[in-house]
Amino acid sequence: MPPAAKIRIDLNSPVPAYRQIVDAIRVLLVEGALTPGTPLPSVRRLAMELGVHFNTVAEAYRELAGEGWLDLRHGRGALVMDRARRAPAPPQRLREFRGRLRNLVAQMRAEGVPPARIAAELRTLTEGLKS
Amino acid sequence: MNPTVLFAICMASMAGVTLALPWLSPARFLFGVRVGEAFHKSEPGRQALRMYYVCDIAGIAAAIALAFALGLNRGSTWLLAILLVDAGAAVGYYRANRRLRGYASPADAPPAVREADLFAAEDRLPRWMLLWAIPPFLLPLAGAADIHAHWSEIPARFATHYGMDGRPDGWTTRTPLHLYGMFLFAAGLLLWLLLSGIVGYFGARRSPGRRTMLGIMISMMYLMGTVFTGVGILPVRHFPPWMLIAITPAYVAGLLFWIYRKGSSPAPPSESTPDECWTLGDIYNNPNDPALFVPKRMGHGYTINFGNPRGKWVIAGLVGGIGLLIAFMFWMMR
Repeated sequence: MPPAAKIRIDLNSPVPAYRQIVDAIRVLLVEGALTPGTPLPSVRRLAMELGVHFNTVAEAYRELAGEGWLDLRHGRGALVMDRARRAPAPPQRLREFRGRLRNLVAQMRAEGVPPARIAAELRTLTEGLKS
Repeated sequence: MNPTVLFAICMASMAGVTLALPWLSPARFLFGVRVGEAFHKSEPGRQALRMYYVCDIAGIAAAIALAFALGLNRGSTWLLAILLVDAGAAVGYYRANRRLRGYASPADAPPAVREADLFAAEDRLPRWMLLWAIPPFLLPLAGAADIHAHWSEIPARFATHYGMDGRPDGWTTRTPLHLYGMFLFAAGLLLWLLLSGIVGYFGARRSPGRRTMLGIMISMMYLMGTVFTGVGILPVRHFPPWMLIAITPAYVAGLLFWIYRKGSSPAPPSESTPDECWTLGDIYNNPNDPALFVPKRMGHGYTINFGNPRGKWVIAGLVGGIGLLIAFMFWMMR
């Protein structure tokens, strides 16, 4: 029996539910908690468990399938794919990530988190993601 | 059994159920309104409870008065008496619900954080279900075998209906339909109960509550299997019919006691459903919630999500199924 792979979403969060689902499943995929060949619940079942509309989960699955993480099977949920390691992201994409990180770091600084702590958090997170 | 004693048992059972209803519901709800666990003991909480009890007791008193006025020999008196008790409880519930709406406390709502396990393989029927769901089907089968073995001993005309005093007041002739029909009905009813339990299991979110509900449905299969098999073998096994009637209140009393103990034990709050999707604290209608069944706010168990398009088909299927069984019973007894 594989370890539990649970996702949590906050329905009161300003982040859309579908985005929270995509982010939560992607973390599990990158960390290796969901290995290739693992079947995910059907759209209907996951929507029921999370109490969100079917379309919300379907959209999240489609986005992850577009990234090459999932193989969508009609009526039978999704299967985690053996995703070959991708080529390094192009400079344009790296600039996008840098911009997002910059905003996040600024927000943390504005809320009083010391720079050393931010650097430590980033290092921990980077090392925690296995693939 | 004396009809007056039987009526007293019937009224006591109904009064027990309706009077206990506020205490069999999740503790943070009172009459379907989210008021928090301590509210029951506050003055407004006590007033609402009194309001409910007054209406409920008035209904019970009216039912007893009606029975004395019309006599207990007619079936319609019994039906009217039962309806009066239900009506008293329903009016009391509605009035208490209206009074408490102003005290609704959204702050007591569980956080809107939802969690889901991604391993789909775990969402299966529990193994014990098959183990426990099969034996009830053996009861009508054994009853039919008993009838078959004693076919020649059954008189050409035998009693099929008994009055409240226990004396037969309906007879029929010895035909395969009249003798095996009751077992067919029992098997159909057991199948209906099992299917309802399975639909409820897969139509609700994962929680210990849905396993409990499946367990209750299976325990009801034992009750129904015993009662209707007992009725079916009456032509060959002579025992007082009231014994079959007495099983039901005993089962209900045991079930209520168990629900009360379960409800009063500390447990984490169950899933959150939006307050605005509940009508009168009892009818759930949320088109954005894919769950077919959600935990009730009044009483114990699950209720259907009327906002789910599949919910209407499920209701039609369940009502149609039981309707067919009742039609078969009437056709058999004609």
